[in-house]
Amino acid sequence: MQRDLLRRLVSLPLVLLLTSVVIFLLPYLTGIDPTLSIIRARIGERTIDPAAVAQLRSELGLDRNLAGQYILWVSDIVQGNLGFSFVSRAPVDEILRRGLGVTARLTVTTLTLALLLALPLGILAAQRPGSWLDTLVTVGCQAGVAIPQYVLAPLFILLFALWLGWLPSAGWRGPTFMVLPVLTLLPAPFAYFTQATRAALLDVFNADYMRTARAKGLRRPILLYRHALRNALIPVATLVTLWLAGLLGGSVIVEVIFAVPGLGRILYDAVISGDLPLLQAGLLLLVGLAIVISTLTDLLYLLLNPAMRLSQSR
Amino acid sequence: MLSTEQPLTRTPLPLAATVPQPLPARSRRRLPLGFLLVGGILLVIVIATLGAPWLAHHDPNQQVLTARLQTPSSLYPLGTDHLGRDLLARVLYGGRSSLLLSALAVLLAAGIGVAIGALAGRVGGLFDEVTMRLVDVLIVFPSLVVALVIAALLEPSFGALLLALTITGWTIYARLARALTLDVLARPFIEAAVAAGVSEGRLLLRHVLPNISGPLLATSFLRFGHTLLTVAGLSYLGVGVQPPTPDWGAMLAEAQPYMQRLPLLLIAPALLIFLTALAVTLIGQRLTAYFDPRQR
Amino acid sequence: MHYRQSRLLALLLLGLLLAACAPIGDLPTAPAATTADGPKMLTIAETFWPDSGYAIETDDAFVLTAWGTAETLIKIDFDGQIQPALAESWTQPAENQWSFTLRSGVTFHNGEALTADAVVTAFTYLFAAETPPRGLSPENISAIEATDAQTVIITTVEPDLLLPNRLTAPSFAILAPAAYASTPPNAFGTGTGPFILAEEIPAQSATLRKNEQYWGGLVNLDAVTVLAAPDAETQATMLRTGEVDIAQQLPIPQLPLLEVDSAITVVRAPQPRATTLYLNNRQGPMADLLVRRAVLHAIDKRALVDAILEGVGAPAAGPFAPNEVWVNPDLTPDTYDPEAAKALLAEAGYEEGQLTLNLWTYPARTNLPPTAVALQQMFADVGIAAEVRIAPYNALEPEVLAGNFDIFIVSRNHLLDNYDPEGFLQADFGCEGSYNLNGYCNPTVDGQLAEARTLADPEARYALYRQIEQTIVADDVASIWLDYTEQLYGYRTGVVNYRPHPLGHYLVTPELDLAR
Repeated sequence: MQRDLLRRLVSLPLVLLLTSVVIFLLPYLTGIDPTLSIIRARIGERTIDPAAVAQLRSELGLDRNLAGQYILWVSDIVQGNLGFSFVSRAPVDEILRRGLGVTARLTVTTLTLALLLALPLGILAAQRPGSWLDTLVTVGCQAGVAIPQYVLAPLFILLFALWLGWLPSAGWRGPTFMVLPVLTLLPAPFAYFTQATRAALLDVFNADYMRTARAKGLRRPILLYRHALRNALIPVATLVTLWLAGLLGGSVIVEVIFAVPGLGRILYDAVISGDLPLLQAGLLLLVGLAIVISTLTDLLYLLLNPAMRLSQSR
Repeated sequence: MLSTEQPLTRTPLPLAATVPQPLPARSRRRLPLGFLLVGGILLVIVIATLGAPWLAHHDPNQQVLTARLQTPSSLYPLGTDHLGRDLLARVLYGGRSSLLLSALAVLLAAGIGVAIGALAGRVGGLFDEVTMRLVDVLIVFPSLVVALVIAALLEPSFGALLLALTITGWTIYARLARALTLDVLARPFIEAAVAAGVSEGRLLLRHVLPNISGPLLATSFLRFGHTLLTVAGLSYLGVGVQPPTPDWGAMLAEAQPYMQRLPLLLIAPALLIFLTALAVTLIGQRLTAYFDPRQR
Repeated sequence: MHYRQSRLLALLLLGLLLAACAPIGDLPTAPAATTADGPKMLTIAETFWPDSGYAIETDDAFVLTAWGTAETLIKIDFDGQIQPALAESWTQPAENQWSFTLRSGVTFHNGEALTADAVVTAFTYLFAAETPPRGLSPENISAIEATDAQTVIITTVEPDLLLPNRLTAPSFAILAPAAYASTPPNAFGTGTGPFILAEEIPAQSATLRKNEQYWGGLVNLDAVTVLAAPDAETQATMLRTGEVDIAQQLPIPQLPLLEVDSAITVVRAPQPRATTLYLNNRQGPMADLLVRRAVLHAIDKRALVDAILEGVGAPAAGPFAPNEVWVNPDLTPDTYDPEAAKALLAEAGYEEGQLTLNLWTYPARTNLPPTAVALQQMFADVGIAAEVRIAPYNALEPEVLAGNFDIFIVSRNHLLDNYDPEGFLQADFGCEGSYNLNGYCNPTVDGQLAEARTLADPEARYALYRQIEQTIVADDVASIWLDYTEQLYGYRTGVVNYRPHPLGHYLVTPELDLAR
């Protein structure tokens, strides 16, 4: 285990460096002139002064060569300076922090709800494998994943905001604004968690030690909760943490439709408006989060899985 | 199964958490019927989109500005959209670009991913280490964001989309191919082949690849469904297939303002995306269970 | 070992639950509008949320005047007339000088007094800014002085008859001197208007409170909440559910649904905005006048208005709408003649299907993408193959400016910089114009524009503008104008004294009220 962790610690910075170069270069592949984008963002359709363009370009350091800009960028970031948005001139770390907070809340709520709903359903389905209920659950889960968010969201708005008037249609100004976005994001993780619970439980039910427990004559409920669930939850728990990273950036569509000022929305706007510092820092943040979460997931798996720990300590 | 040589393996992939489903024998007789039904739906959709030139009586891009937003009639079986284009034709042709793009993306991702993954499994060492760390990080990365960034920054076109989808899709295959390759390489017949002096290339191509193709095929079905939804999502956001080429996702975005006036404009492409994604995923799931190594 | 795992899992779940239950966002602190004796509050939807930190030299200045928080020296009123605002009167003491007498007794929201020095501070900041408002170019300003407490004199390099006109643009709003201590200037509580910009939740909402000491008199409403609604669809939904009382940009496709809603009144406001085809006059196939004429005749403008605008707007003859005083009445929008188009193409040397053009536009204005697709069809009908490319404006503009395009469809507002089309004509059609996407250059037009700038008599200027319009529309076909778009505003019953402003400068006014 130590050797694995050591190898990981060495190779991760390499990965981070590699991805940072890619992230930095990505916007330049486009040919979008960031200076022009900035000016357009500020003055809209009004006429541009060419002298202002040139001045702005040199001020932002955009007239230097790419390598120089990259080094400047990296050294800034390492010192904790994420730069200022080209468009709003607000500090990037503030913008990202706000967005991350919003998306994190949205994500955590969705995943918690999904887990709370998925566990009982998965258990139920695993207890009756092959039954009509089981098939219904399987098909239902896959159906939930197959309905795109951009179909669900407008339908929900139509139903709950327009027709019933129960919920607001867009924005992020209170608890009620969270309901529809969460509802739209829910089906996919819920489906995967249910399936994972079911699969993991079935795995466990057929394992040798379960047969031993059954042979000992233990009643079903005790069987379930003490032996099966604990071990079955291991892959599910790791799945939840993986989804955490996935949803942090993957909720773009929901955030756009419901006007939620989250990280996905911020990145989307940054792409559209050519706001380089925000885009680059935002992508770097996502990569960083992905690394942290994937490492935590491995640690979690290690902690929870006694078999792994036993084998490692041999 | 768990050796110290394998790095910490958590659940192989989020998708494959649906993988091991040892089903009691009783139900295995019942499921093929469902499998046939689902396969049938998929087949109908694929044939319909392939046969678009014969099934559609109108040019999907032909606008008749005086015949906008019409309800189904004998002339236009599904009605017309906001520019007077035949909805049925657009739905059928729309399938072609969506399905073709998704299929190509999956093939490319699979090709690249399997190559890298199998190589990593065979070669090991630093290459394996760095590649798998990269995969670990990228797999967690939300693919929609990456695809969005790439497709939006490059000029949105078939090629740009293909590139974006391939870049975000290969990691799943790499991880799976690597795990499967390691599994196969541990088997005795490989030792025999190596002892007999089989070359590396031949080993991978003739001995490893055929034995790992089953689960890879199953995963491809699952990935196809996921890719289809992503393609439609990108088109919905405006960075996917460009007009006037019909595309289910783009049609959804165009139909939204008219949602309450003519719901069919929204329902038709939505239903097709849903059915196709559902069918492919169910088939993929069934195949995964079939190829599950634990059942051997 | 088992217990430790269970506890870990339990902790994880608990953590998740707690995080989910944490209160989110900030609720607007403005009081509810529904109580009978309580404060009167209105909610409005805003499409273009300030994203430059309310920097007054940027487009963000538009919301500052629209929300009634900041004011300019001179304004355009709801009838399109120039009126005094913070400046009581103005004269031209010398050919290149303008003198403005400020209203006395006006205080900023933070207590500071409106003096000539405050105006000088404000304008000095503007002209030194990175992206100064182009309406009044810094190169043309030689001096701004406060000759006494209430008088400001602006001296220009060249005589500028339109200076007062240009000062009506929202960027020339005056904020308190203390505001300019920071960059961008602090717009909160530093204006002079009937409402005070009190607080905001970034990208979400802003709260405006009544200015009890407003120089212009009584203010009806006690507070206004402005909500960010990024697209027209969302605004329509919010209006229909009652989440907002006033929406500024409703989508045309929803017009039939909104019109039958008894709680909503829809207002169609003409805009100085036309959907325009910019044509590459310098290189490529569009450089040939015959081809430009052919393209003009290939387009059925009425069909576009009926289908895409659903009648909310009118076909355009040229850049100026029929209700504008300087329009040339002899130009007609009915130029649809596919046979003539084909003949012209043949004359230019193209056989059917031989000519390929690229047709670019951007999705920010919802009518543009469908217009591009419809045009593609119309071109195909006369034998021109068109490739449509829809991309964000920022991605296209550099290539257009570099001359690598054929046709660029733009929604162009020609009264942004000043309330006189001279700025637009110079920028778009002057040989040295900064928005001359066409690459058009006609020395006669340049001469006419230069002459117009020296004429004090509006009628004389308008006569020149009409001649220029004739040249660029009919003679040279520098651009092709498709249609004038109208903006759809909507408000719920109960809202009183609401009127759209012809330039979108003002929305929240002292007269705006809520009926009980």
